[in-house]
Amino acid sequence: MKLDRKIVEIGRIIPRIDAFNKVRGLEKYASDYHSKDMIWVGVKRAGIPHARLKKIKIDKAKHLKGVIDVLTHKDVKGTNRQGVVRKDQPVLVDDKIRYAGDAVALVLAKDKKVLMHALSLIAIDYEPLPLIFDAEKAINDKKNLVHEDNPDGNVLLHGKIETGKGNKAFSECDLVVEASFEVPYQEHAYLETEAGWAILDSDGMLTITVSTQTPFRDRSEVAEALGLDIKKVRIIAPYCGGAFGGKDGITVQTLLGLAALTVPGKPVKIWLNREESFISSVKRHQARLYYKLGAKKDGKLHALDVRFFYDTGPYDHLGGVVMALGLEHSGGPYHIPNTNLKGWVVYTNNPIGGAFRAFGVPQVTFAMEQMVDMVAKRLNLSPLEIRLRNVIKKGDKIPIGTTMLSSTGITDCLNILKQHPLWKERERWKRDAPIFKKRGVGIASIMHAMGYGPVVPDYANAKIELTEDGKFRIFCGVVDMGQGNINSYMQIAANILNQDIDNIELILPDTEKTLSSGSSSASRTTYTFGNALIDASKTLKEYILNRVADLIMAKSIDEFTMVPGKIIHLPTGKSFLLKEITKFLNDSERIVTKHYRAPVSKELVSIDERLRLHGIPHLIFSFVSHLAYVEIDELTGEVEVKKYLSITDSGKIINPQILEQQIHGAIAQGLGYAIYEDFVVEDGKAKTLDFSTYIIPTAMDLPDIESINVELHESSGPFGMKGAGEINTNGPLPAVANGVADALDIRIFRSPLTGERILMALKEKKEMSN
Amino acid sequence: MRLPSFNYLEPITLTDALNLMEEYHGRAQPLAGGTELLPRMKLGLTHPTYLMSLKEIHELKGIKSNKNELYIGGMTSLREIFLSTLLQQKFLAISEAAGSVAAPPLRNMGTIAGNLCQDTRCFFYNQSYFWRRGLKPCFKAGGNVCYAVPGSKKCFSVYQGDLAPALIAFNAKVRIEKKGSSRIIPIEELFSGKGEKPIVIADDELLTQVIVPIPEGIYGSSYRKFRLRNALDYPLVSAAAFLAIDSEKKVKSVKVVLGAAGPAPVIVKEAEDILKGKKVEESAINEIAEAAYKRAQMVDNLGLPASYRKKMVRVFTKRAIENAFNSIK
Repeated sequence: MKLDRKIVEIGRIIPRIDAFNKVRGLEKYASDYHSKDMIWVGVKRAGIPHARLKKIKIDKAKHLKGVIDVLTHKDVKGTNRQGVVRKDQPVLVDDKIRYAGDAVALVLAKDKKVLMHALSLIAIDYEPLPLIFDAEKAINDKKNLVHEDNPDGNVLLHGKIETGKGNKAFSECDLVVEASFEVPYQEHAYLETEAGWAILDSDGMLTITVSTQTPFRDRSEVAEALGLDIKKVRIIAPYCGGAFGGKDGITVQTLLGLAALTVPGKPVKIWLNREESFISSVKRHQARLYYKLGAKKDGKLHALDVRFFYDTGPYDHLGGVVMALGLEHSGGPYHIPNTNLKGWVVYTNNPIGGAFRAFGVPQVTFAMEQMVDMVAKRLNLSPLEIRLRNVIKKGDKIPIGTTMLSSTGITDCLNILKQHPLWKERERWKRDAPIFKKRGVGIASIMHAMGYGPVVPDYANAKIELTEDGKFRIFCGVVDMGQGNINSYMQIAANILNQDIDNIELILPDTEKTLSSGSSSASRTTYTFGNALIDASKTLKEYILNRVADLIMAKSIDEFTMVPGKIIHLPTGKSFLLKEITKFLNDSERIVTKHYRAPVSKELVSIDERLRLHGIPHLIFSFVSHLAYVEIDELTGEVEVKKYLSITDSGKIINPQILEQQIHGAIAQGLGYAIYEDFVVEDGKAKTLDFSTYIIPTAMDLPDIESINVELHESSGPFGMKGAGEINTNGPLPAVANGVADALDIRIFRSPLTGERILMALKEKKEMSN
Repeated sequence: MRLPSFNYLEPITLTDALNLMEEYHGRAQPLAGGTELLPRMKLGLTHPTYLMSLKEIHELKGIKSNKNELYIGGMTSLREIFLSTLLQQKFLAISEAAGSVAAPPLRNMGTIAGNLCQDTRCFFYNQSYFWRRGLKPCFKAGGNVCYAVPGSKKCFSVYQGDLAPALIAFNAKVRIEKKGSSRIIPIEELFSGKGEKPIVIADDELLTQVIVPIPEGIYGSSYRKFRLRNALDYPLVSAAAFLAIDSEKKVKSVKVVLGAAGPAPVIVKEAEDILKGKKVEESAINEIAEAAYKRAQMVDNLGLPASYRKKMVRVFTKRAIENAFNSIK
C-alpha cells in the first residue's frame, strides 16, 4: 500500500479546485458564452419610477435595420409574473410602472450597436402617478398604492412578536435608552453583472445558461411566467462571478427565455452593463429603525421595544423573508425576557430591496449593538462586560421567545476576545494616537441563523457516481457563487471514500443533470448538501464494498479498505482497481442519490403563521464577536480601521482556508457598508450608477484582519459544522460605529460613517459645548 | 465599453513622431501610457482616427540631471519617478505626487507627460454613453449647457492631475516640440483655465520633457492628497508646498499650489507675502490656508459635496506646508 498519497482530511486546507482556472481566465462564466450567430438582447427600462402605462411605441425601433424583433408584454404567453414569494413582478410591464428599473420592452438585434440605437427609439406613453418613496409614511397611505391588489395596501408584510410582559416591563427597568437609526441601500457590486445565454432547440427545449444562485426555482418561474411546460425548460448554472444574494431569483432568465422563443434555433445573449445592473438589480433594504432598551442596575437587559421599516421597493423579491429574519435578530444574541418587536416591510417606488448576504440582519445589528453600548456607558460597564452578562447560553430564550438549542459559542467568542492582546492593549493604543487623530475601539456580538426556517423545506439531493473510469463524480445541485462550497463537497466525498481530490469529478448545477437542492443562500449550502452527500458517499462506498465482498466471497465488508483508485482486501493484501470493479456494478449500484432535510424548530409559541411561512424561527445559529481599532482624522472626519479581529463559532471546520476567505470577504463587504457604500436614490432615481460614485473599498482601504475560530461541535452538521457565509457581514458597521463613539464620544445614528458625516457631528458637538 | 476602432502609428524616434504629427495635420493623437486616453475612448468621449504610440521612443524616457536642472523625459513612467532616489531626496513633493496616482499597475503605465496633459473631469461629463444618451451635450462635450451648475455659461470641470501642482511648486517648466521648433514654458502656462479645453498645446505639438530647476540652499516640499480610497481615486483636493529657509529658519521662498480646485492648478500667490522673511508659525500657515480656501473654485461635480471639499482645502494646505517644513533636514 502506498502511503505517500495525500489522503483528504477534514479540517485541513484543500486548495480550491476552481481557483487555478479562474485566475487564468479559463473558467467559463455565463457572461463568456459567445457565438458568431448569436443575437444580442437588450431591455428598455422605464426610467420613471411610478406611472400608469398607456402605450409603448416600438415601430421605429422595429423597423431599424439589424433589429430582429421588439417584444412587449403582449408577447408574453404565460402569467407574465415572477417573484420568489409573492409573484408581483412583471416580466415586461403591462399595467403600471413601479420603479425606474422596470423592464418595458425587449429588443433583439444583430449587434450591440444596433441594439443600443433601437432601445433609444422606443418611446413610452404614460400617465405619471404620485411617488411613494418613504416606507414609514407609505404604510398609512391608502390612496397612493404601489400594488392596488395588495390586501394590506403598501405593507408587504408586518410582523410582531411580544414576549414576557412586553412594553410593560420598561417600568421595572432602572434605566432606559432610546434612539433611532437609518441605513441606506447597499449594492452587491458583483464582478459579473447579470448575464445569460439561451437557445430554443428543435425539440422545443429551452436551455438557459445564466449567472444564478437558484437554477431549480428559476426553471419553475420561467415556465410559469412564459407559459411553458416545466419539462421544456432547462437551466444551467456555471460558477457565478459573484452574487451575494443578488442572483437569488430571477434577474434576466425570463427575458432570455422570451427572446429565445422568438428566434428558434438561434442563441440569444443578455449582459447588463454596470449602470443597468445598478438601476435594475435588488439591493440590501434601506431601513429606519426605532429602538428602546431597558436594563437593570446590575447590567441585565430587561426590556426591548423595536419598530423598524424596511423599504422593499416595488416588488417582494424576498422582502418579507428579509424582514422576518431582521425581526428574529432584532434583539441580538441576548437574553432579554420582555420584548415587543415590530417590523414592517413596505412597497415603494425606490429600487428593489431583496436578498443580500446577511439578509436583513446588518440593519438591526447596527441599531442593537449601539444600543447595548449606550446602556453600558450609562451603567459605567465596559462594552465587553455588559455583553458577557447578557449573551445567550444554550437553552436560553432568544428575544423572539424561542429556545436556543444549537451549539452556542457566543460566550466563548467573547472570552477569547477578552484575552486577546487587541482588547487588553486597547487603552495604550488609544493613548498613542498621533496628532489630530482620535482612536477608539469598538466591539459587537452577533448571532446569525442558518437555513430556511420552519415551513419551507430546507433540503438537498446529493447524487454521486462511481464512473466507468473508476473515479467518483459528484452532481452538485447547489450553485457555487464563489464561496467555495463545491470544493468542500469534493473534500467531504474524498474523505469518506478515501480518495485523492484528483479522483473526484464535478457536475455543476444543471436542472437536467443534477438534482434539486434549494438555493445557494442562507448560509446553508455546505450544511444541507453536505449532509446529503455524506449519506450518499457512505452508501455508495457500502455498495462498492459489498459488490467486491460478494465477488471474492469474503466474510464481510469489514475486511476491505478503500484507498485512492482501489480497494484492498486486508486479510490477503489483494487489491482491486476501482476502474475494474466498476464494470461489475450495475447503474443503480454505481449511482447513489440521497435526500436530506434540515431539522427545524418545533416551537409554536410567539410566532404567528405568516411569520413562520416567512422563515422564522430558526433552529441553528452561528455566532461571532468582532473588534475594530478605528482612527479618526479630526480635521477631515475620515475613519480608518487600523485592525480588525473576528472570532467565529461556526462549528467544526471543513476547510480552514475557505472559512477564512468567507470571514475576510464578509468583513471587507461589511466595512464597505460601514464606511463607504451609500446607494443614493432621489425621487425614485438612482444617483450612484458606477464605481466612481458608488464607492467600495480597495485592498488599500482594508485593515489586517485576524480571524479566530471557536470550534464547537454542532451535532446536526456535516462533520460538526454550521453555516458561516453570512454572519461576519453583520459586525463591521456596529463595531466601527461603537469605535467612533469610543473615540469621539459621538454616536452616529446614520450610516455609512463617512468623513463628512463625522466632521458634521464633531462640529455640532463643538457648537453644543460652546 | 469596447475600444472603438482606430489606426495605429508607432514611431521609434522623436523626429519621426513630430513628422507624423505634421503629416496628419494634428489628427494623430499621441498615446503615452493610455491610462487616461483609452478609458475616455471607451466611454465615447473622444474619437481619434489615429493613435500614435510613443512607447518605443526611448529618447523620451528617463531622468537626468546636471548641476542646475533635472530633466524628466515625457514618457518616463510614474513608477520610475516615484521610486527615483534623486527625486525622493531632492524633490519629495514630485515623488509623493507620482506615488499617489491611482494604483501600481496604472503607475507602471502612466507617464509624466500624460499625467500633465490629463483632461479635466466632471461627474456629468465622464460618463458612459448609456448614461449620457438622451441628454444634450454639455459645454465640455461641445454643447452649451452645464449639468453641474445649471444655467451657467461655462464649464466647471476640474483639473485632477497629481503631478502638476507638485511640479509648479518647484517652478518646473516643460519643453514643447513640433517639427522644426521647440519652446520651453513654465508649467502653469500649459493650462488655459477653461474647463472646455484645459490644456494649451497645439495639435501638432508634443510635450517632450519636464525641466525642474534644482533649488539652492535648505528646502523641503510635500504633496498632500485628499481622496476617499487609498487607491484609484483622483484627488478631491490636493496641495503641494515648497519651502526654502535660510540659516535662521526664516523663509526665503515659498510656493503653495492646489489641485482639484478649479479647471487648472491654483497657485496660492498670497503665500509668498505671508511667509517670506518670517519664521514658519501656525498663524501664518492658517493665513495661507485661508487664502487657499478663497482661491479654490468648487461646485458639486466630484465625489463629495463642494462645501466639504472646500473645507478640506484649508486642512490639506496646512498639511502640505507643515510636511514641507518637517521634511527639511
